[in-house]
Amino acid sequence: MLKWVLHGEAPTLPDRMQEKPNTQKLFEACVETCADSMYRVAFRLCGNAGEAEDLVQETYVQAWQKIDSLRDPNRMRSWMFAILRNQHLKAIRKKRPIATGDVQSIEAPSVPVEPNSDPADVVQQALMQLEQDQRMPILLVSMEGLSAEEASGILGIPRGTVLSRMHRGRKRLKEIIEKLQPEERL
Amino acid sequence: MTLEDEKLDELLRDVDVPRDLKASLLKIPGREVEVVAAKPESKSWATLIGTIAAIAASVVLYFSIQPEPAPFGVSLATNESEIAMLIAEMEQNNQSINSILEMQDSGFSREISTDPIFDSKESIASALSLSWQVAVDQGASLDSVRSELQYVVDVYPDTAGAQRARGLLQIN
Repeated sequence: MLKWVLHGEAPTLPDRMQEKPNTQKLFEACVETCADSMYRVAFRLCGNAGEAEDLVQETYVQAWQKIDSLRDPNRMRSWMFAILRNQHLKAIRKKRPIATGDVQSIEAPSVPVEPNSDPADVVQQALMQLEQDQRMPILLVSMEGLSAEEASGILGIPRGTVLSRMHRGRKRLKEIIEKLQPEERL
Repeated sequence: MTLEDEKLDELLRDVDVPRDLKASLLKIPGREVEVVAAKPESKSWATLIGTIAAIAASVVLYFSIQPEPAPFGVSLATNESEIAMLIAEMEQNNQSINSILEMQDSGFSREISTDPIFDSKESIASALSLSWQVAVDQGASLDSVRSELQYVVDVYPDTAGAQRARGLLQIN
């Protein structure tokens, strides 16, 4: 079991990659540098391991197809997150019911929280109840340590909006967690 | 109980990454060749499945757009040709949304910019709310589109599309 703790800074590419990367090496660098981050965010967005792996796979398939157009390898992580976000939006659209049905179940498919639930499950459940536009800033900035500017570029919203959504989202997230797990378990 | 910021961040990061993830991702370049080679055959299957899905969607939509008493002289979609027209319009809107997302992808690849050329949320919310407004205007019962309008309000709350959806929900 791997537990990941971030240090708050974007990983940098090896020097040899910054000189003249070829396609295969650039893709390998994408995997080496970003895969774990991609999976963590995908897992938090999807709520389960299977869908998260599919989302990461789809993201890397897209990345491989477009890898030649990545001219600035130092922006690789932002580029990958932008692809992942688009793939996630597409996946949501594919899963939506046609005309009727409970659309909330797509984003919050979850099981009621048991009193003795694992804190990680409680957090996931709470995240799924959060509004979608607040979730991504929290995942990118709080969880993955991106700067607000990077998140702003990925999400296509102003830096101030990233910060305000993150602030509101974190506040709401704490409220939901405390509601789901009122006892001193976390 | 008050959850500290650091504890919250720690809980967020507590995700188990599969050990073989990187190894499986590194196989993608090889697999892509196979995928390209298999495309023609899979396309015919996709067409068949798509046709079946379209027929199923038509049936679902036919039963979901049930006529109800017209509140203020609104004409209702009661015959097959009107319903077919509604389906065609909604399909067109879905295609528009997909085109927007594809163009955005294309923008990323050409410019290597992480700035979306469209604000996808605004575009999607507008397209969805307009789509359901058209359906209501042409006689679909509000009950059949209420959950869709609520979806726009919930998922894209700060957009003009959500505003339109809220308006429709309030008026009706």
